Amino acid sequence: MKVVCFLPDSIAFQNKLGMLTRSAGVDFQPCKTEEEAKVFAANVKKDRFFLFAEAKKIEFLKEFSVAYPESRIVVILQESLQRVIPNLIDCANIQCFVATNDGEFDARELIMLLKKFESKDYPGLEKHLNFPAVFKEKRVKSQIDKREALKILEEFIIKIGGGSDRFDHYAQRVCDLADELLLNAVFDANPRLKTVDRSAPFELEDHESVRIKWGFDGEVFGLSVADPFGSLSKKTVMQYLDENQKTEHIGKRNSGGLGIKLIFERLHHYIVNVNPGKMTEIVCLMRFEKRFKDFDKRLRSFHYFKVEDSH
Amino acid sequence: MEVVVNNTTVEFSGLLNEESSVDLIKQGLEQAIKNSAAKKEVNLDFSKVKRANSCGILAWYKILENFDCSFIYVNAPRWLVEQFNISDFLSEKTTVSSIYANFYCPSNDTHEVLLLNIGKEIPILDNYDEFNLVLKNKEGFDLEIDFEPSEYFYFISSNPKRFKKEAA
Repeated sequence: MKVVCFLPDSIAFQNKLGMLTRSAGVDFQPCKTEEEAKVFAANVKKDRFFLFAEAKKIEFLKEFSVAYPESRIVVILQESLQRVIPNLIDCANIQCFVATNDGEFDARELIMLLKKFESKDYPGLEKHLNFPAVFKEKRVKSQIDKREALKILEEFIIKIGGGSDRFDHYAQRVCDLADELLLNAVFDANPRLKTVDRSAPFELEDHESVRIKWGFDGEVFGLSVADPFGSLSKKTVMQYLDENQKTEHIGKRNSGGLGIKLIFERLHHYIVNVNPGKMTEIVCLMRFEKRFKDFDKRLRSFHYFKVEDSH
Repeated sequence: MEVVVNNTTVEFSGLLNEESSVDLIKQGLEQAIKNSAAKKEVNLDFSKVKRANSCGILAWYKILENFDCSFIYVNAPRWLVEQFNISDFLSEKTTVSSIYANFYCPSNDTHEVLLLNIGKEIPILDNYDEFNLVLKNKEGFDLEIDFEPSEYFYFISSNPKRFKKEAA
């Protein structure tokens, strides 16, 4: 595996990425020009390699994506995902959008990303939280289960915050997020329930049941929701996030678009793992910043992985 | 979700989601419209609604579409303000009079949620980039704004006419 880096305008990012990559034992190839990156891609076509490049290099990313469809691209964000997406929505091999905040990568996010690329082991909430995180899990098969899961989740967060206003507030945000993810997993993902009236109580068969899981390691809170359908595409998520859709009339929408915007307001990392036809797992990570303003202003990352069957 | 009609104000509590009764909400609105007589103006108070999901929000939007009346959101909690800002949630017949906002006290590391009135604590502006508001808590310590004014008040700056008309 090799990492090719084309960040000519951000040498600090390039240096940090190089350091992290080399420390993970992965080959690192910085490129100064677009041509250099293309030449490298052409020469190592048969190897697995990942191109890291800035979101503002739109034409280069589009061209590279078409010319080297076997490559995987990681886009570095210095502005919001919603602003970047309209320009890059058709670049099929962009796998991750990695946010920078205050001019820095999140080293933890990058190390995890490199580990995943190398091991090809993508799903699972546990890998994102450090020891000694305690995980809670619940299966959801009915409306009652959903209600119960959200109640336990809310109590969990309020309890870890010792009843402080801050954690009370974050408990509501996380429950909003979990509620939307459960709605998506129960209704949108399930072909049997996609078009049913959502105000009627639902009952899922055993093989349709949804799993919600969460944990906190003192720094990062993580939540995952998994369904057994594996139908969520990257393009669907990106279309819902497209800022241009803000002008669409709300009354004409299905809940999905509205929901995904609500989801993105309440997390920092949105990770989608899909095993087509078998499983979709959404992993959401967030930091409970001291000030809500700091929580809100962080740029969001979005990763999309197709899970390979051996895992 | 529970619905209480208090003269021309409809007060909601609980959760606004797929389990909320559309009929109960409609009945509450009809009663408040009747109480408002010829004025046909109803206040909507969601301050006791802890959370809402997209199913509940869409259902609410569609309920309002069917009423020929003016609606004023009062005491709007944060989740509702986020909806005001997300899309064309506010229509020609709806406006907002007061909203809750987060404040942080660096002296004792606490958070407070305070009610702000549009046209009073929140002036009606085209741009909130330079906006600031320093308030005191009960102990006399300074409270800092804990939200981004240009984003939180976007629903005002994107259509100040709606609120200027209201203030006049």
